[in-house]
Amino acid sequence: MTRQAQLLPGTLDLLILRAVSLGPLHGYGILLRIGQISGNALLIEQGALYPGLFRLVRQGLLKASWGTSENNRRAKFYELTAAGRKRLREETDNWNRLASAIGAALAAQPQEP
Amino acid sequence: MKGLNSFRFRIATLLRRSRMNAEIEDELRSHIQHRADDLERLGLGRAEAERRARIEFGGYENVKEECREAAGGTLIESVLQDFRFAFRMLRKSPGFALVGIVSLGLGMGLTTTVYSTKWELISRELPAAANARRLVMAEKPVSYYYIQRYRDQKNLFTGVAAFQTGVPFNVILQGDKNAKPERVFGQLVSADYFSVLGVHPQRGRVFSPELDKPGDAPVVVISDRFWRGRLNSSPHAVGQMLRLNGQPATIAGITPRNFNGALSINPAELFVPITVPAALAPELANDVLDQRNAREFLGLMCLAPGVTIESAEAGLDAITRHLDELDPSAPPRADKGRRVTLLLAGTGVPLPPQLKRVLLGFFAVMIGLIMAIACMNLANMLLARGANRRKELAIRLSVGASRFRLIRQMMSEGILLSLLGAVAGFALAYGLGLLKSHFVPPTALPQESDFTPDGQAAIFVLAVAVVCGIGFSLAPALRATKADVTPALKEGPALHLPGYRRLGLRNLLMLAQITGSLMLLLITGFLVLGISRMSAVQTRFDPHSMYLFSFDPVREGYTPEKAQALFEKLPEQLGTISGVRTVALAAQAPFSIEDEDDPIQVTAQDSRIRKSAFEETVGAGYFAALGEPLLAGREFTELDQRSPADGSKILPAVLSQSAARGLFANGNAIGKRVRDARQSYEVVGVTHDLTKGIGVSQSIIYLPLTQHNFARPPADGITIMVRTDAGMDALSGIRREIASVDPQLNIFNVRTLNEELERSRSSERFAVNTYGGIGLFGLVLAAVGLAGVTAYAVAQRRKEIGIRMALGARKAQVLGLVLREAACLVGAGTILGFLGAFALAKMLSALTSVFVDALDIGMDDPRMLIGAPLLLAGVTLLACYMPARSAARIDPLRALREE
Repeated sequence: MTRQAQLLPGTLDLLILRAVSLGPLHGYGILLRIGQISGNALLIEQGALYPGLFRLVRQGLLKASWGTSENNRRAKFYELTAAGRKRLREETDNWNRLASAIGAALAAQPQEP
Repeated sequence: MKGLNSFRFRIATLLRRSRMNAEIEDELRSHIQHRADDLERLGLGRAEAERRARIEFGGYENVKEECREAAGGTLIESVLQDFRFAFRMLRKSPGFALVGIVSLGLGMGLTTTVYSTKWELISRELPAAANARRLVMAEKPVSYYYIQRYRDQKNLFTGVAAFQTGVPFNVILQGDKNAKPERVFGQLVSADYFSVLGVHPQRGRVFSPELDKPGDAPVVVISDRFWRGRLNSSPHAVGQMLRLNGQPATIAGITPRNFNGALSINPAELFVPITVPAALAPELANDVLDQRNAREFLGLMCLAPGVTIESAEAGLDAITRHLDELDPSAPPRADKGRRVTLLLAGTGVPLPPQLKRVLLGFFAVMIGLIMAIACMNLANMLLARGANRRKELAIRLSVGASRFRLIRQMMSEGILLSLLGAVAGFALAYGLGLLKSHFVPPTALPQESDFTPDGQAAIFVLAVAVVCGIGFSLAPALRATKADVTPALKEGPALHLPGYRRLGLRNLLMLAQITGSLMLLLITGFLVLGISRMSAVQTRFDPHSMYLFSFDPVREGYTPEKAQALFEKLPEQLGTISGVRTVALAAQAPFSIEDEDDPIQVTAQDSRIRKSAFEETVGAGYFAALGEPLLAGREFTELDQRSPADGSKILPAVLSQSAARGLFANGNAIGKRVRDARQSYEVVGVTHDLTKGIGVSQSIIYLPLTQHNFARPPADGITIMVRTDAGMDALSGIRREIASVDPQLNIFNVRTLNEELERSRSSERFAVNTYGGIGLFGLVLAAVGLAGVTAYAVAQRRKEIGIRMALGARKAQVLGLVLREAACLVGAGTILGFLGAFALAKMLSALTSVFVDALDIGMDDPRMLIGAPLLLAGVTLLACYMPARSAARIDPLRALREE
């Protein structure tokens, strides 16, 4: 059973962008998808998601429109804007670079004198 | 077009806001529905699924608000949001809100009272006086001749006026021939008085040197209060005739609203120019305007532009010294001290500039202390609340909520509490003001007694509320939203055992609060004890059996000679009434309390020993009337009363025991000479110390009533004391007797000695109650604060206590654990409080002589020194006993299982 990791601030936005990039979703759907693609290692607090969504909309990285969900209910769907796609690319690159640098540091063996 | 555009924009924003709210609501609801759908699919019933979904979601309102904020909005919108949120939070904890509002309300009520009674009195400029800021006044009265010489100094002053204040007038308004005269207090002023002040009339005219010359028909100027109160705002007031001390005069004008003369602490209703004939005012008799050494007038000066009060004082001092030397009749004075002290006269109470600064500073400190105690309580409570919400706040921070926004939200709670407290406080101050207005202090001169807070005070209390609100909620808000969120998130199942006792912020606050409360308690306690100890008056007879009433025949048209004859005849005549035992006259009521009295310096002629003493002027047989036997010598006789006032004959004087001992040590005082500022006297008798109101110094020098006093009675007239047999009601007999002498004669202020004493005691009782109230306030707050802090500490340490008990700690040990911390705080606070109280008392004594004696007595009283700290300690420990007991009753199993 994978352990649940703590979430660093700012990474939530990244995850939202990633989740939405795979196809337009409503809020609940985004929640489910993040859990899905992380193999249930990342579970977002329900209440934390929505302010993040609104923020991303305000920053112009997502756009929202009302529609009907698969359960036949009214829901607000989000999808990436062009700027959002660009940001996703940049942030993913940054994250990977960071992760490999730290990984390398943690795996380094002490140098022989 | 711009206005319309912005209007449209604002409407659009409002519409947008409600639309936004609705949208957020819809979205969140939709989320919950979807979650419920999933749960339903897992097998739950619809209702149960929805319920579970809602619970899982958590803080619905919080999220909505975060969304709103994330979506953006104007500043006003978000501030209003904050306040609405704060209001909701407060509604959820009514206990906390109530305690907060009560603490703040009490604090701000007291603060407002101090502000509107003391601060405004010494800092508010005279209303309607355009030159208020440049007005100065000489501390001691001088003769009119000097005033005229001062006027010549055009380089120092733009104008110098002369005036006398607290001048009584018997006024009969036109109309009823047989109307009884009313006693009205006003000022005698020189013709340039109003131009020096810069006051313009609201109707008619005020005096001016061109229009008011000696020999003109007498005119007076009335105040707005006189016009409204006694003339019913009659439109025909200007030009109306009235009778002043029996003489006709015309009303020339009305001064503006709220103007009551210079020195407005004794409000004047009437202004009479010194150019009127002497028949109108006994103060002007004997050509007093021409006498070089008649020091009867106060000088009111308007500084010339660019001249400072210090340079004016120096200039005036030089001139006065020069004039003194030229004066052949002035006693030789070799002292090098300042002859002239100038006071800032632009406010209700003239003060020397340094004293004014010091007093303002003192009141600021007092206000600060009161508010600090209230705020510390609030800060502590907010800290506890903040700690309780750490988890929620940590989560919000971790998902990117702006720390600033969270802090602002928490602070809006504090500010809202503060504003509510301000409203409560203002109401309290208003109530106190009304109470005080109803109670009239027993003084001869009317004192400004309207102490209800006004608009300025309201603005003041609002400002205080906002400042305090920010002050006490900033630190807790910062604390609760500290960036280090991980410990908070982890705290759930973990145990937080402090390795060592740190003196946290909360404990410091508590310490400060205990110190402040003890200081307040001690100081007010000192004052209370001191005042009540000093005012015990003991008479040798039943005070119900002495009548006092006052006369002022000279102001009813009697000539000085006729007045003297009347006063000589009256005691005899009254003595013939059956039941009357003794009759005596005096210039003031016996055992009277006059706030304005200052002790004078009395010098023993031979030894040059100087002591301060109070002066009382009494008539023949005064001590016999009071049943006081003399310790040595004799008292005054009718012969003494007939002494001429010109100083040709040495007047006798009677000293009180303290005065005699002070001046002559153990020697015999009889036959020795003493002198005050005016003349020499020969000591003819020594009497016991009779209490004189609020003043430990029992040193009193009694001077005889003479022609001078009969010709010019003091502000409350000559007092006649009639002692009757016990149980007799001789009042009607007295009135008949007086009417038989002169039916027109007006007697006023008829009371028994008992009533007189009661009246003076009520003033002390009021002061005692006020101070006592303030002290109790500090005590209650400290207790509440300590209880709250202890309760919170116990709640925090539940786990620790549970473990200790599970490991075998007994209830008593747990109790001790909790109480020990509180006891340390109380102990430290007591020591600091003592030091602070004594320092403050010393400072107070140095500032105002009014407090000196009360504080001295109070500080020596062991009851206070031991009692006050014990009381504080007892109450505070009791207050934290309850939470401590609940700590001891913690069920260890439950505590350990709790999250």
